[in-house]
Amino acid sequence: MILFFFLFSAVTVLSSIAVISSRNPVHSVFFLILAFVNSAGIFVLAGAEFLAMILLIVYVGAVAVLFLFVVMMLNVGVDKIKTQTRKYMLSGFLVAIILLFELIFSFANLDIIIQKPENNLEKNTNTHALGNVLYTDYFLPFQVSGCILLVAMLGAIILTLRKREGVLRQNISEQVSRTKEDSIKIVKIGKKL
Amino acid sequence: MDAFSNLNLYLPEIIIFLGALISIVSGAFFKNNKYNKVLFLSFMTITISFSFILFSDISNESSSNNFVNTTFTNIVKLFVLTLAIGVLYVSNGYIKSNKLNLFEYPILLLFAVLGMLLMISANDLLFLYISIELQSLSLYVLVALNRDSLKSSEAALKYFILGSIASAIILYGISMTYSITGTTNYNLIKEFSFTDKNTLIFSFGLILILSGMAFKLSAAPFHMWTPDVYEGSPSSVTTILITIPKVVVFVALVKLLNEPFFYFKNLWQQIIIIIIVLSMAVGSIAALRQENIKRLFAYGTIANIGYVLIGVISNSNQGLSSSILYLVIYTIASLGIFSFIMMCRKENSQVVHLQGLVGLSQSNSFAAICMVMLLLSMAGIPPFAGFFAKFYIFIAAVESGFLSLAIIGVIFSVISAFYYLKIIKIMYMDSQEDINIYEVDNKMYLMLLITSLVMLVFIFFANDFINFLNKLNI
Repeated sequence: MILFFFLFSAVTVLSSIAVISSRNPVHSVFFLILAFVNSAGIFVLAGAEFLAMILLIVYVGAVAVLFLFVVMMLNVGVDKIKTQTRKYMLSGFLVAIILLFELIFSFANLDIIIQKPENNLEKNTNTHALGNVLYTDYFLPFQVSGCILLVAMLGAIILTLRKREGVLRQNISEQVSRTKEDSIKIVKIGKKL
Repeated sequence: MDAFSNLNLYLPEIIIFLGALISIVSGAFFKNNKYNKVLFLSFMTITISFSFILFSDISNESSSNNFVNTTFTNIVKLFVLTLAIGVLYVSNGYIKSNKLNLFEYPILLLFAVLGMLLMISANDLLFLYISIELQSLSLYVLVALNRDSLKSSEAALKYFILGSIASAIILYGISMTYSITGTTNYNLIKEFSFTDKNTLIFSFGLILILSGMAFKLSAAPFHMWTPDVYEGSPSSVTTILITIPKVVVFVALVKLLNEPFFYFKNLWQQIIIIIIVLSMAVGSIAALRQENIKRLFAYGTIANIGYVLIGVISNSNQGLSSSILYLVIYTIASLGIFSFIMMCRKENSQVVHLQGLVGLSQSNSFAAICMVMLLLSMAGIPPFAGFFAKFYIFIAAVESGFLSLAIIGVIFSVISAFYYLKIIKIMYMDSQEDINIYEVDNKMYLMLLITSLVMLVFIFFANDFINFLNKLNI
């Protein structure tokens, strides 16, 4: 168990470093995916198998793929980013140090933070427990979040789908319903052309 | 099976939801004149929901775990639905003349209203968050509706990014609270905080939630997005943004502060006093130099939110009811002012600068007179409704021992009177050789007339109204 923990966390750390240091942005995204998969492994070890699944589905399945698309489509110049990185080196370093101290502080005072929730689901998994409350206690918020997704879809359609004048589009039903009569015009060519 | 057993509880919301779904589907199937038909459907939906709340016994107090209906929430819901109808009615002409008449416009408004109704009744932090998200997401899309305008896109981007950060901050605060109490239910949190005073993380959560809500209210340290978004979005959408969400978020905030965080009153009182003073200062002073009408009223909103919040910190029910009174008068006046702004068109384009109003008193004396009434009311000049709003707010402040706050409020109120009166001066005193011509829409005339009459007539009902609110037990 502990061996797997160190394996997963080592790969996560290494691939996170590779994300920010590799020259090719596409490689960075792949390393990001590797980091996500490994942290999902850590979640499984911690007994949070639902979080692991969500991490895989949402981050690897959607977010990372989105990143990949953006990186490939935008064709970002790596050298330009590299030169910009040096400019922000100092401030980034500062933020990193602050975060480090915060982490040290919070680990030092660990006893005020960790209060394990009462576990009365002995044999049930996380997924079971979530499923039990999702359609009962949290039925309404759950439905409303579905509503939010509907609005998001509606918004995406409104903002991107537009019929502009002068843009040629394929209209399949029109193409199929064309007949020989109205698409071919037979012209008799006279003797004098 | 709590959720299914008392479906009656959510019936107004369910009606709105079903109406929105029907509108989406039928909007996709209608062949022509989509916008008008869907608009009609949305009107019907809102009216049915409205009449349901009205006729099914307003004083019906019922609740489930995360959802509470009281007389007060029912009345706020009625007001929100009325505002929604008003906004849809006013914006009709504007939408058409700017070619924004997509049939999704009323549908998005319906979803925003759904989120708002849920937010008013929310009795659970998680549920509050989700309904805020539903409301904001619909509004983000509405702001971006004018795709050909660079400003609209810019406004939408700013609103979306800053709004998501605010939502994330609220969620972070909720997680802090949850980590200590182990629940998101208002009542349980209140009980918990009474017995267990583990204050550090709890108050951290409170501050984060409060900042997020202040962002949604566009109160001062979190107001940066307001002028840009209000200026950039289509005027009809600005009308929505400036009226309905303010009422709803305010009501949700009041409930939040008085239920789960009731025992932290000393903490949030201080924070809100800072927010109030900053809002009044920023709103009044920054508006002085604005030349753009919409930016000016955006800053006006910030200042007004400052006044509204004064009622929250006072220790009495009376303070809250004066806040609600202020909010009601402010939203009605804003509705009138924005229907005027949408009305002012010159040679097929919107009048955006204050100087464009020169000579209005001659070209359209009726609109000018109505506008004068609304502006005087906003400035708080005695016979009009706005005076009573400010009067009760300051009385509540003095009675609960915030004399200095009342004095600061009066000072900034005088400062803000300057730019309201400046508009009147531009309309009446500044002369110009060629008098401006305004194309107008009858519907907006009607709204302008109604709102300015409300401002004028309110003096006769002021006492009854405040007594009614006092009895409500907010």
